[in-house]
This record gives sequence, structure tokens and C-alpha cells, in this order.
Amino acid sequence: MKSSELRGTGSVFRFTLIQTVKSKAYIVSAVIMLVLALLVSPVLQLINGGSGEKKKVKSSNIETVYICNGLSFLAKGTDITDLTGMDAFSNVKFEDLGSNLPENTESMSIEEISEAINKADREKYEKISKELEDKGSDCKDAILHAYMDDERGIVVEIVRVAGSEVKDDECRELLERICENLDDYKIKISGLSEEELDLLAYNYTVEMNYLGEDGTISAAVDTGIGSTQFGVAYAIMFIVAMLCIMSATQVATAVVTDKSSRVVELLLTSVRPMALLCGKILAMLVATLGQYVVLFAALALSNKLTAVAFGTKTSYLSSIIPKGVLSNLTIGNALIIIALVALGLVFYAVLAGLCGAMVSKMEELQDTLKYFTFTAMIGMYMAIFAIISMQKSSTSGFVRFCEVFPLTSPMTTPGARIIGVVPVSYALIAIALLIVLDFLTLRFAAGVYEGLITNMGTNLKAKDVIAMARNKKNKGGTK
Amino acid sequence: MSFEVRNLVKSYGEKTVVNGLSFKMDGPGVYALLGTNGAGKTTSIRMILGMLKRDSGEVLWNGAEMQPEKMNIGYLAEERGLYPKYTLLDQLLYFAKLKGVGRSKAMEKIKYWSGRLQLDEYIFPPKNAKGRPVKSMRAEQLSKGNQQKVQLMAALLSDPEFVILDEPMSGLDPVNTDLFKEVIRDEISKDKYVIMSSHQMPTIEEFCSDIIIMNRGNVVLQGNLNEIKKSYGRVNLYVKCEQPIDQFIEAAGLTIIEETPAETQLRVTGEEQAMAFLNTLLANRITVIRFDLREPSLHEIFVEKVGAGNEE
Repeated sequence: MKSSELRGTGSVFRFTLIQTVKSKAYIVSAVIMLVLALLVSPVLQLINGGSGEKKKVKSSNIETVYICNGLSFLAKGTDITDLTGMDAFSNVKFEDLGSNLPENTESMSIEEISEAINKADREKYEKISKELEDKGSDCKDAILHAYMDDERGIVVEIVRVAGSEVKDDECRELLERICENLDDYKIKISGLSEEELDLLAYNYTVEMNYLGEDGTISAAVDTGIGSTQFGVAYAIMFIVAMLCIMSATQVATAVVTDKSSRVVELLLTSVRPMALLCGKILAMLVATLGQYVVLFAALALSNKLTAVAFGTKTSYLSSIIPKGVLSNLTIGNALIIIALVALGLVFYAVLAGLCGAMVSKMEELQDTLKYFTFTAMIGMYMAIFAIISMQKSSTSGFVRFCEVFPLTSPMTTPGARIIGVVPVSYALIAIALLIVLDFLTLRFAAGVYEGLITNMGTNLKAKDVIAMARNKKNKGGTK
Repeated sequence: MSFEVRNLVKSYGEKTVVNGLSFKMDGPGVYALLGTNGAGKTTSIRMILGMLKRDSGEVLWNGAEMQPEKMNIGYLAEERGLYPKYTLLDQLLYFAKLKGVGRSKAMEKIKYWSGRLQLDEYIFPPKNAKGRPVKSMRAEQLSKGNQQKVQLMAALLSDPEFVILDEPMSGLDPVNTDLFKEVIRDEISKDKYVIMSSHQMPTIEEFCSDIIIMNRGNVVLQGNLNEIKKSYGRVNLYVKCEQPIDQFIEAAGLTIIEETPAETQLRVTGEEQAMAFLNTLLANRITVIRFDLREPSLHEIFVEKVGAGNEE
């Protein structure tokens, strides 16, 4: 491709960008995105408790809480119902339904004791719940039911009659206090300090490493990513995929517009077809990126304003975004990510541009856009599977392949780089492969685009385009 | 300056759509490309403009390979096109920019041409009732004829040295046809190189000094129009008489080309046969109202050449 083929790209870029940004479709979609971005933070804040701080119950409606204790260790007498400092619950009466421990446990096996406790618990729970049910919605009593579940561990639940005056807020506050009391009880009976108990609660990460001759440690075994990292990688993959699809389809539409409006012949007296294609690709990328910049800027602004408006340090939206998510986003990584995304966008945009050039009318675009859609879907689904696979292992062959494979690397590698699971060498290989693919795609496009853009006849098929490229290679036409 | 096309060839698969087109313009003037639909005119124009790759041949400007994107070329394509959703002013400025015309110069040119082609009310609409400026209209809001005028304007905005007009008058009403003719005449008078393709033979005869007639990709006739006509000789005799003359036509062995209430068109071998026929009429006391010996029209030459080609 000669540099003279790109003469006029700047003019095409500016005109296409300005006309796209001025178009009603662009303005409407940008406004919708802007409004949604501005609303999401305050709406989430309102849905999730207004000020962002939990409401304190001023006075409780609960009269009696029946303690149905299915936990053997609580039977020894606990202070879990100690509500010191909770004035709203000062009038609540706690009634222990008694121990579930059977007598003569010394002659029983552990299984028999457990069975006996469960049976007693069920009987008491059924009896008291029947009594409450009979009282109807006027009943202001509740059952505090504590039991052991194989999957969920210790379950503490409050049960009240449907439609009664006992509200969610007071139940939640009561449960929180009881759980705190249970923690205190655990500390008490264990004889450990709070710090020691925290130590017991820590999870383990198991690694089997090798010490190299030079003292380096290598070969970590557990390379799976956590749910937070998965969320980040998936979100970035989704954003990049959307960028690719949105900008590429806009490029295809712009190419068909030139052909269907028959302007292309006039344009081609001043610029080469490649300049037309490149100008359109750049314009659509900037236009789409512009929408995303507006979206994220509005989101950030909305977040700040929401926190100020609701008088909290951070908004609800900020609180659900894991801290330290962007800690790997150094300047070097940012440049790698920008390069990956930009090269990926160019590849998909050129592909869509070729699809657009294969037809002459807008209504025929769907016929050829299937080639782009098929390729983009392969890239997107492989990227999704790769990110899912990262939960098991971020160094598996498939994940590593997707991190460098040009169809998937723009969607997989930026997220993987941010969560720190892809080495910089792989990211650089991905960039190199994308540069090669973009070069080959542009070269192919340069070879066939001229023939495609001036074709106003029947729709071309993929085999026609390939034949066109081969024909050109063999015959070496003269300009 | 000179413009030359040498042995231009283009094939699609086994089908040759342009086969050895050659012509030369040693100076400014108008060259006509004629042919039936599918004769290869538009393909030739696209190859000249570098839009289509040619299989072989050369297009030379001043003896060197022509680089259309680096030249100032005005092109009115057969496939008329404007962006339907964009304003006229925006797209005219864009077309001018692609030709390297600066914004202020382009605005000046647009104002000139919009006045000349009576497009002011569309490109520079007057302020509304509240005195606010109104945006230039979109192409889709214009009639076909007015869109065609905007396209002519786009082709001539950069004051091109080389102009290609592919079917410039097709679909125009008589008023706009005259307007277009006037503009084309002006462009020709500015010593420009003009290539014109048209099916309207009177238009070609009005503007063009040299012609090429193409049929199925082949050149079937080319040269200076006057010389071509001269080479045919004055063989068309138009006669109108008060009395019937059928018996005299038959006796003279003349062929009737066309017979209308106004006149009879006959084919003669030359002036001598025509004079002999006139003498016969006069000798038989026939009142001759019209007796006109002419060269064949371009239309006749075209039909003869293309018809012969199609019969082959």
C-alpha cells in the first residue's frame, strides 16, 4: 500500500466524524447513554437505602421472641439475647423454649445425639410456629430459630407471621446483634482472643513452588482468579466487544451509504479507495470512543454528585466496585491496553468495511455483515470461555492461546493485564500478532476494496472477493 | 498540454468490455464517447479516472502517466449521487476540500454556482419569519433535476482543467437542459479538456469536435465529426413536392429512407444523382417545394455503425 493511497484520509475522517456526530441517531443514542449514566448512581443509592448508611430502628414492634435453639452448644446457656445498648428493643421479651439436648447422652453415639437434637428442634419449631400462625397478622411475636445446616453452616433466622407489624428493618438489626453476640460467645468458649479467632477464619492459598539455582521461586500451582478479578476481566471484555461491534457496524453502514447514495464515484476522483476506508474507520472509532468517554465521564460525575447529595463519603456504586481493581493500571499497562484495543478495533472495522463494500444498498447489508458477525462472535465467545477458564487456571493453554490469538486478544488480554494474570511478554506477542493481522487485512482490503467499492451490480459473495484478490495477484492490474 | 488514451483494455472473466480504446486530444476541446448501453463508455471513463484497474493500456497527461487524484478533474458521473441526509452546503464544502479548495474559496465558488444554477434558495435559504438563519437543505429534499444541478456544481467547484461529463443532460427538463448547455459551453470556452458521453446525438453534434463510437467494447468509428460526415458525402436528399413523385423515385432507382407528410428522405449516391433526379422532376413539371441535399446526421451514422456491429 503506497502512501499516496492514503492522501485525503484526513478530510474523509473529519467530514465523516462531523456528520456522524451531527446525526440524529448518534445524538439520541449519546443522550440516552448520558441520561442512564447520570441516573444509575442516584437510583442505585435510593434503591439501596438512601443515605448509604443503615437506618436505625427507633422502636421495635416485637413483643416476644421465642428462641428455638437447634444448636447444642447454645443449650449450655448463652448471652446471645443480650441487647444492651439497643433501646429500641428494651421491651422485647425473650423466651427460651428449652434445651434440645436429650438426657443420658453418655450412653448415646454422636449420631444419635444429633438425631435427637434435630427431632426436638423440629417438634418445638412446628409447635411454636403453629401457635403464631393461629394468632394471625395481629401477632407481634417472632421465632428466633438457630440450627446447623450441612451446606450453610450455622443458620440464624427470624420467623414472623406474614403481614404482621414486625418489620424487616428491626428483624435485620436484631439478627445482626445476635450474630455479634454469637461471635462473642464463640470467642468466650474457645478461650481465644478476637485476633486469634480471626486467624482461624482466614482462608489458605496453597502453593507448591520450586527454588531455582539462582534463588528464584517459580511454578505457582493455584493460578485461578477470584470472583472480583473475574468480574473485572468480564466487564472489560464486554466493553471492548461492544466497542468493536458498534464501531465496525457503523463503518459498514458508512461504506454502504457512499455506495447506495452513488457519491463514491465523485469521491474517487479525488481520493483513493483506501483513503476513504481508513478515514471512515478512524472517524467511526473516534465517534464510538467518544460515546464511551461521555458515558464513563457521566458515570463518574454522577457518582460524585450522588455522594455529595446523599451526604456520604462514597456512593453505593463506589462501594460495590472492589477496591484496588485498577492497581495494575500503570502507564505501561495503559499503553499496552490502548494498543490492543485500538488494533482489535481496526481489524474488526476493516472486516466490516469490506462487508459493506460487497453490497450496493443499505437493505442488503445484513447479507454480507454475516461474515463480520460470525468472526466477531467467534472472538467474543472464545474470550468469554477464556475468562471463565481463568477461574480455574489463568495459565492454561486455552487461556494463553486466547490472550495472544488476534481475534480474542483485544477482548481477553486488556482485562487479564489489569487483573495481573497475563505476563507482559504475552501482551506484547498479542500486539505483534495484531499488527501483522491488521497489516494483512489492510493489504487484502487494499487489493479488493477498489473493485468492491465500484461494483454496483449484484451482491458479491466471499468467494468472489477471494477470487478478486487472487486475480489481482496473478494478473497484476495496472492502475 | 495533451491527453492520450492508448490501447485501453478491460475484461471481466472471458468477457472483454473495453477492447483497445485509443484516442488523443492534442489541445483543449470536447471529445465524445458514444455507444449503446453496455458499450463500455462508463468502464472506459472509470479506467481513465483510475477508479477501475485496467488490464492493459495507458492513460497519459502531457505524455506521462495520468494520476487523477493529483489532478484537478471535474466528473459528473452517470450514476448521480449525493448524500441524502447531509446538508448541501456541508457536502459541497467536503467535495471542494477533497479537491484541495480552501473553505473561503469554496464558499465563494458555491455562492457563484448556486446563483448561476438557481440553487440559492436551497443552499443558502433566506432567514425564517423570526429572522433566524435556516440551515442549508438536505439533498433528499430536492427534486431530481435540482440534485443534478448540485452534482454539476460539485464537478465544477474546483474549476477543473479536465472535465468528464457522463450523460450530463439525461433526465433534465428543457429549461434545465438549456441551463446545462450554457454552463458546458462556458467551460469549453475556457479552453478545458472535456470528455462527454451522451445518447443525445444533437447535443454531441452541438458541442463535440471529435467522436468515438463504441459497440460491445470495440471502437467502431472514431475521428473528427466533420471529417467523418464529409467522408460519408452528401447522400441524404430531402424532397417535398406538390404532386406525387413515387414513379420518378422508382425510375431513378432511389431508396426511400423515411417518408413523412412533411417530406421524403431519399438515399442518393452523390450530387450528380441528386441533380439528375431534380432535372427529371422539373422536366415533368413537378412543383418542388423543398430539395435539400445533406450529409448524414450523427444519429444516422451511429445507428448504421452500431446496428452493423450488432448484426455481426
